[in-house]
Amino acid sequence: MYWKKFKSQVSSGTPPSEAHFVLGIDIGNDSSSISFFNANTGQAEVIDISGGYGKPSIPTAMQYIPETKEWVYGEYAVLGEGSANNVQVTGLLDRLGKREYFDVDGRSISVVTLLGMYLKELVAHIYSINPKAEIVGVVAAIPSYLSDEAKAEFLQAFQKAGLEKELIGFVTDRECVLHGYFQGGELGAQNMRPARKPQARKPRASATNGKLLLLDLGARELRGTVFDILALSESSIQLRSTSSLFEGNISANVVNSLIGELFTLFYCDNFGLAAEKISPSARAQLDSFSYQHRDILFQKNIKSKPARLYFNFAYPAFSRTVDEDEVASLIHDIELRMKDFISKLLKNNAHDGSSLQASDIDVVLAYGGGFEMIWARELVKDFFRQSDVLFRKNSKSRVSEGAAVAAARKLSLLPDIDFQLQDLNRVNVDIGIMITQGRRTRFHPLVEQSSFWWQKRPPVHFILGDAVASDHLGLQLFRRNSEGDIDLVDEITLIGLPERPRGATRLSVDISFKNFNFVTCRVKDLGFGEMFPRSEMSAEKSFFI
Amino acid sequence: MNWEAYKASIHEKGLDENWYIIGVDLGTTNSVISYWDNNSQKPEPIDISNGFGKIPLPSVVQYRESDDDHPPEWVIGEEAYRSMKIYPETTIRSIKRKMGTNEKVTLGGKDYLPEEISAKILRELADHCQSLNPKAEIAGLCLSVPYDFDDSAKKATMRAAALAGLEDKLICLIEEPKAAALAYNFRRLLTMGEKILVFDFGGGTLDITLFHVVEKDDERIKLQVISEGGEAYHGGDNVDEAILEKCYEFIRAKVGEISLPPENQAELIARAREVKERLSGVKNFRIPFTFCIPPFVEQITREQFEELNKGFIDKTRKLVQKALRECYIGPVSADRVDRVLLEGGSSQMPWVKEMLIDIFGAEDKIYSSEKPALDISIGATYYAAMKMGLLNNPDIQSEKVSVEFEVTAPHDIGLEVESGGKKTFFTMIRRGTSYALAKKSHTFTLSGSTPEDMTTFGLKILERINKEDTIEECKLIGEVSITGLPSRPSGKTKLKITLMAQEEGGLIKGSVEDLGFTGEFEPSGFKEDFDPGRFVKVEL
Repeated sequence: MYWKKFKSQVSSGTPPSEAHFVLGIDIGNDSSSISFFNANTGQAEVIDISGGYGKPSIPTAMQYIPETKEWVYGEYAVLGEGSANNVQVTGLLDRLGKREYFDVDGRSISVVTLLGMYLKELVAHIYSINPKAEIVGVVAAIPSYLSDEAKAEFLQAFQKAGLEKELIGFVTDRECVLHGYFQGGELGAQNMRPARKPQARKPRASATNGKLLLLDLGARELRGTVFDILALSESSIQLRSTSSLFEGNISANVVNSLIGELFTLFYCDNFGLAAEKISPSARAQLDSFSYQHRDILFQKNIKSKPARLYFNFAYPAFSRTVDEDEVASLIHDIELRMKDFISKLLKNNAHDGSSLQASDIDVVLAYGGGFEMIWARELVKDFFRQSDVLFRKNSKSRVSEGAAVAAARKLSLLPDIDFQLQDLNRVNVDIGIMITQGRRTRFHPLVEQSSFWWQKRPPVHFILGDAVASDHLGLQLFRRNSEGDIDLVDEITLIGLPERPRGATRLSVDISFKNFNFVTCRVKDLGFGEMFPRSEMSAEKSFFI
Repeated sequence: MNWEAYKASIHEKGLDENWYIIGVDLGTTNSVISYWDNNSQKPEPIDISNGFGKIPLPSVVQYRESDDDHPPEWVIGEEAYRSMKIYPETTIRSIKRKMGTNEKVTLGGKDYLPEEISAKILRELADHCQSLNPKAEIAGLCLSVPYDFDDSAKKATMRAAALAGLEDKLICLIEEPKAAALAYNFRRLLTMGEKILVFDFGGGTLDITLFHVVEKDDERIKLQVISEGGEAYHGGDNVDEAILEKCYEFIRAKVGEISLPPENQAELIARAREVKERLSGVKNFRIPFTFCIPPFVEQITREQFEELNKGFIDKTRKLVQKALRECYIGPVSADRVDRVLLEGGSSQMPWVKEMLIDIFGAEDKIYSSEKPALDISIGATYYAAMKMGLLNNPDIQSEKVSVEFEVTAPHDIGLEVESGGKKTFFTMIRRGTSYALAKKSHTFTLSGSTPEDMTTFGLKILERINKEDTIEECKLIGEVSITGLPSRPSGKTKLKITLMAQEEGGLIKGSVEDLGFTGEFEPSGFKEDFDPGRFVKVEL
């Protein structure tokens, strides 16, 4: 059903039926989860898509098995990795926006089509819960860094999955987490608390000076954002992010690869083998073993007794013991990096340039699969001793649950909230130039919206299509807002350029930010080969965006 | 503090955040514990693996002898399962299948009853509450049992709770399908007149229960059990065994007749389960036999897998048809069932859904639970919370409604009587009788050949599982010795014997009363209550 039709039904007083499903979908690079909003309980519920064992997510992986001409998804795809001629598809989100194709049994299949198939498989779980299910609204969580091209392809994937009418829209993953958090009660719940009716959770600081930190330890990176709470009421939530960082060297995948190396070492030690001598089939089994056993090292139990690993696939089978100290030394460097990351995050305060202290943070919301590791939880708790540090029991499902809440708000199943996120760390417009190709003139971004202002940007080089006929050359810079409106920001003039024919002038444009709102643009003449040497002419201009 | 004292204290002081109300699904293959979360006002399963992997705890108990470095130890759950190959002879699986029997297992030179092993799993689960809160104490719990569990198995389960130190915390037993229906009802409101068949397919047991929503208004919903079927020893483990046998066939075909050492047998058991789980998602699976010389790989397809289990699948189909045929209200045709709810890990095998679509003739009747492996413990927790008077959230539509069950006795309950030198089964409580009404009395005449026969006699309380079972096939619930009756001539004592099933869990109790003999002997006033087999002390 078209989501707007459902919304108007709800608004006109028709209650949703058991068969109406409002979904939140979180497609991550490594794992995905799906939740629905249960209108009966007023809460988002994650769907167990692991075959009944309570896991809230499945790997974002699919595999084509040529022998049986079947596609398998999730865990089945991961566990079958390395088998024969199977085609393995992973990292779907990273591949979006790049027009990538996979060769499957002699056919070229686009990433968009594959993602559409994966979405369809994920959503199929709804029909096994309720064969009469009707999806009436979907919010899909996306990372805030997703490019326009990637978003366009994501949208196409929803169309391929037959969900274009149901898709309400994309919401950034951190916004989803905040939706879930402010919906209250269940999502932030940790341990036993005195009985009370579920109610909106508010940070303990007052509405105007509270500080909230979001930490996302995902498979690929650690991301952190500090928010100032500007306004907080039942009808309005206004937050302003004042500091934001990401770091690829701290991630669940980095830890997983260390564990893989450790397990390989145990295997080699036991059989007196060099790592490169491990047979392909033993390597595949060792990889599966690492995937299935890596969690053991990071559970609470290891504090009371060493974990014993049973290499049952090996012949003869053997076991190895890993104690708390070994685990500590394995992750020591990552821990240091993580502490350093958080310190930088607190220092990098865009609002007034002042450094924050850990004690300034009122609430820490930690999510992402990496926070299932006990050491990561303890590190954050230890760092923010005076703050309210909240972990979700299933860290991986926090985003999809929040997306389901966001969907319920959009559909009037929950009171709508004026939700405003100001991000001082991200550029809120595209900055670029207009390019004419043939009869068509289009906007070409040099700085993309949502990128961090402090991000290092390499200079962009381009060739002038027109001849340089006078010694003055004006370069106009434009900005484009979220609605697609384009307007002129400023013009930079290069003076003293030698005359050159069409296509013989190469320019370098370098844009840098002094702060979130103040930009400097440098333009430099690079000439064109030996025939038209560079003139050393350049110009610089600064402006507010 | 026992659960009743805690319940009383809730009314006076409110809830204590360190006291936990829990529901436990003690399963054949996996066990799950949930607690009542006061914050979210709903049950939450406790993730034994701390968010990683599977929430359930494998129901595996292992004893490790001491060695130079380690004292002897008990290992329970995931580690016991994963190390089965290293300790094959001291690893116990599927103990639930033996509950209520006297089949002992010997570990470390000592014999253990099934409930003693089960108690270790229960204790391990309860200890996980401390991972949520180091000061956690169990305030009250409901323990689930299969509908088809006989009285001795139920009592063994209660003994397991006592051995785990939870005797005074045990609020009641709850039948697994009832727990599943309860959990489901709180998420999805059932409608008046609806007939819902819960197909609860676990590792050891298949429970088929047909509920009928007989009453429903804004304040209450009443679910009546109108049929109960399935089998206590029919579950995913049977499928594993068939695959295991096939694996041995592969070995015989490739390397000839060999005697496998225990660790390789354990490896094969784990492989068999892996084949079952993987073939739920892929159409074929290669099984590596790395321990054979030479090592080899064999492939098994989903079709082969289903062919291998054809007999089992056919039997499953017949059990569903039997449950429909033998409804207490008369046969119910498949088209009169409104929805079929799949519960339990084994219900995820693709053939299960296909078979049920075939029986019920419509794909849109087959519903899977959102949490098929967790619902029973969630439902048990809801029940525990209801018993504690906590379910009264006016903001939640389903919680405005009180839920009542009319659960019925799954088997005939009766006595062994002797008449004319022939022993027969005398039915006191018929299968299908609501537990609420399951209190039946009958007057018997006591005869004997010696004076002692008239003052003392043994009363055997039996359970007839199948209608066609002979007296020899009936299961003994308990034997009660009645002493102190007045001495009278043979045939001159009339006794009123009463049997009743407890509403919670259907445990059997009873009484014997002397009625005298009309016109000759006045009643002596003798009356004795009995509770056969309950809480027999077992020393750990």
